Amino acid sequence: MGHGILLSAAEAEASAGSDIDFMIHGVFSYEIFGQTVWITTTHVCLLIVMLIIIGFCLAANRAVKKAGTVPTGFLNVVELIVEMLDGMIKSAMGSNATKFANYIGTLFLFIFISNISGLIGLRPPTADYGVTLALALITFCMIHFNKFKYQHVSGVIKGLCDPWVFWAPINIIGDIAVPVSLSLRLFANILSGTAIMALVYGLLGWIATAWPAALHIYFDLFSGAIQTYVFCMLTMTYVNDAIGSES
Amino acid sequence: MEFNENFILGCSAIGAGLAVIAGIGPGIGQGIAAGHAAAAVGRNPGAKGDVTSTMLLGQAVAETTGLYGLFIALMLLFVKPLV
Amino acid sequence: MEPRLFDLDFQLLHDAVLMMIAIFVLLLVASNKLFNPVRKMLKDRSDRIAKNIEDAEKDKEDAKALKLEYEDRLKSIDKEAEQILSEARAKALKNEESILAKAREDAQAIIERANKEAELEKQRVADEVKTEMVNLASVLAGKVVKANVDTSVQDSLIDETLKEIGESTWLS
Repeated sequence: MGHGILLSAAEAEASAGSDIDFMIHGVFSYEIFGQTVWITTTHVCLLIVMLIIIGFCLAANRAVKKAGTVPTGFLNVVELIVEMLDGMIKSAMGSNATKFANYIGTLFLFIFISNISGLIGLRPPTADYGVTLALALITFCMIHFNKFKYQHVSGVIKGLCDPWVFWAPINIIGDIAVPVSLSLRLFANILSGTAIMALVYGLLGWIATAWPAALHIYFDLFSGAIQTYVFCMLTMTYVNDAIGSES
Repeated sequence: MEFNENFILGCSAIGAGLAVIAGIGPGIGQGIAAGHAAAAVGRNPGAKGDVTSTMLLGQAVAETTGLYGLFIALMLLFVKPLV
Repeated sequence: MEPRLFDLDFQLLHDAVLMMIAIFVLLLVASNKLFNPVRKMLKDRSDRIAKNIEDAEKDKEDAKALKLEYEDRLKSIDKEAEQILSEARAKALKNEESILAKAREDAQAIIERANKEAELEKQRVADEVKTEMVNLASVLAGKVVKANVDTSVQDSLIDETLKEIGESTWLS
């Protein structure tokens, strides 16, 4: 315990005694554009989450194809999920819902499964800034694509110089803050959950049996579900704002 | 002036501790939100579902600033950008 | 690689690009395999249910109309039957009267005829008796003649006798 329990925890690979580990590790590296990049544990977990979702989709598709007139079992669950997502999107976006329903639905499924993947022992992919940044950038692109599409260039410029011409830089900073805050919110939430869970398991050792289930319920299920909802809600609200102020 | 690594690590730990003070703000904010939500449910028990979901959404957004503080603390402790 | 948590470097960009590809793949799969088929199925089902309900409603309406019609017809049939019965009754009454009248007439005619016949019979019998008497008288007269009585006395006797018979016996 040379320099503090937390700091020794951070050097998990160096000090074999501690098993606090919520870092991202490399699996293998390759060269691209003259840079060495790594396929990390995040990507492995991402692949597993993708496989879960794709498997669910395929199973749902099969259930739909051989569905009789009366829905049963698994099909009910699928219908419940799809109807719930559609209802949420419809209530948030109104008439614009149909265009974005599939993307928002996919986003919701992906973030939710990612957030709760801590329950099956994975490191949630959303606890990697690369993942949340990508999602936030997609949202950012959607916002501005729709802004240009529905409000045209004049509307965008007018929106930038909203109260006064010299407010433009502040408005631009505000626009850029949207994806940053979106991605950091999701990332920090899931990362803090992961970090706290890792600290609990790593520091308490055998004391941490069974009772961290409550923490899992809070950090993985509750927080994960809330953050999924928040991310999707904010994406829909921003996109709807970009479209809606047209008329 | 040259500082050794341990000094920087110690200062980082202090900084991390200071950073999580940011948790005060969201705590107060979320408490206010929950209080008002409770009042709203008391006035109009029929809208319990809507009030709860709106409250949770607002709280989750308000929580962000506190999480930024926590995030900075985690960075200081584990990523050690200053070393 | 050093264990990493957060860095603004090329690796972050690489991760973001990989994630975008991943979410694009997920979007394609989820759209084609989950959302669109399930929405289509739900829509089909709601359409079918709506159609079923509409059909049922229509059937009900039809049944109601049919029932009304039948009830109407039943009522009219009842009325018709009533009318037919009353007509038949009236006709029967008329028939009865006519038959009774005819029967009475017939009976009258029969009685009349019988009376006439009786009268005729009476007359015939009277005539017969008369002729018989005449014959008898003749026989008697013959006998009387034989017992030498003249013709004039004989004739007056016959007349007398006849008159007596005719007035006293046959008119009584």
